[in-house]
Amino acid sequence: MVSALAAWRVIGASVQGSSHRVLGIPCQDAHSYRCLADRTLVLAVTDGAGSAQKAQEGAQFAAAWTTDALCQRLEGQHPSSPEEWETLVRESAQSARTKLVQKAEEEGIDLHDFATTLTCAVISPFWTVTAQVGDGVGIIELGNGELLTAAVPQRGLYANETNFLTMDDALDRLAVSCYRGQARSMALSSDGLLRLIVKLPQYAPEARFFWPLFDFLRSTPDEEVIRTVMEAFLVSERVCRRTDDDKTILLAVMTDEAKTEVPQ
Amino acid sequence: MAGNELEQVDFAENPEPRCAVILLLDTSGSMAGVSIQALNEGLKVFEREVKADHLAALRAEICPVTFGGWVSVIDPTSGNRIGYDARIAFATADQFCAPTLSANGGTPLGDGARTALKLLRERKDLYKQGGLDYFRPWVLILTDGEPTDSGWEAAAEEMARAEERKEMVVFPIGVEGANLTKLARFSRQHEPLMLKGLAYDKLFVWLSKSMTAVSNSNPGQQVPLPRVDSWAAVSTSN
Repeated sequence: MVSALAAWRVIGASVQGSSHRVLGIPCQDAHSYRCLADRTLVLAVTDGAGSAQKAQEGAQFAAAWTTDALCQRLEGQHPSSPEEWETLVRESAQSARTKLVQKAEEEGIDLHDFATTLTCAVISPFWTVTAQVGDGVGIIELGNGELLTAAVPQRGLYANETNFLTMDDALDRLAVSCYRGQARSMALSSDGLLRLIVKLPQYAPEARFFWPLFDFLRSTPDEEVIRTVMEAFLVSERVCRRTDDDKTILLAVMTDEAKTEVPQ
Repeated sequence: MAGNELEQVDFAENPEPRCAVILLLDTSGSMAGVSIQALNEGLKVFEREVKADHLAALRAEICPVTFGGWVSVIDPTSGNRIGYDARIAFATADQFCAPTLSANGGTPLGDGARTALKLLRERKDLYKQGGLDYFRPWVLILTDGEPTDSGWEAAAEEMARAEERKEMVVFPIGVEGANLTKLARFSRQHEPLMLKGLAYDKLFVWLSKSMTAVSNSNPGQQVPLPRVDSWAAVSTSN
């Protein structure tokens, strides 16, 4: 099928951590993505706080509403400077947050019951932008084949503390990174995989993790196969030995046939 | 078919984040007999339970400190008394060997609290120097009496304030005969709980589960801990 998504192959998987399974806590990660007609890709990964009552819903709402807000603002003319992109992304995060506030009011619950992190990205034909409040990770492969950590986890004093979209000053904590040019690949992840995919303390992307993964995506046309393999991988013994938190990875690779079609 | 396609995917090697736990244990004369025996059994249960969780065993760093007559730092890997040194006073749970404690002397809990604070602060400095991530440390106080050292009130206040500054989490636990009013002065965040009889084993199962919960926690300032009703007396639990 020829669709707007043909230029990109996008696969997302969120799986419950083994500690969550033992304790009977649902998967509190979520992800969302959309590809616009001009092949601009919008991605979001969220991770509900373990301590929040409705973390799962908060994460799902935040991922969906951020994607919506970004897409809405990208329907017309795209920003043409880093400053304009930053404004667009901030407004989108603000919009998602406002909806969370309204939803909490409707349900008569505390906003913090929806506590969730937010890691999101836009890859347009000419710009690559990431934004984050929380401790997710955003890795991009630049046009020259360099891997870069664009969204760096925000950590508190202690290893299990970070920022949430539901904090009063969340927008002040939102970190936006803007790159000129279209990324060839991107990976957004929740903190469950943090120690497996970047080298601490610099958060440098682990090439041995990303290259085989991106290659697998490029060489496997059937998205259902990719998803099955990814989900099996995320719950495999060798991953779970290293982390028993919820794990999400949202991968996007530009497919080779599309590369030739990219507008000049 | 799933499983082999990604066998070439390899992972970054990173040190595990650490969660320091000081077991501040009363070994004063009043603990002699069945109580110290039950405590020793409880520590063995703790060793077994905490090692059973693969990640907690690599992340929880245990440091036993006793107060009975004087304050002693116990080598977590051998159970022997050692000199005061934050570099060797802690060991990850996979290396923990439950000590066999004996009881005698007074109850210098104030000095014990000061030692615990100092050890934790120095340990955190070591984490920072080593580039290690860490969770908020824990201090579990276990006593069947009341402080007998002069100046314990100031030490209690120092610990309570340090907890308010989020330096660590303090769990005061009384064993039968404990003066809970005095014990309460070591924490304003956690009301002292009373151990049911000699249910040390259940207490240490809970501690191990709590270590699992903390060391595997999602982001969040508060980690929901397992219920305490297996070991805590009803009157003071919440």
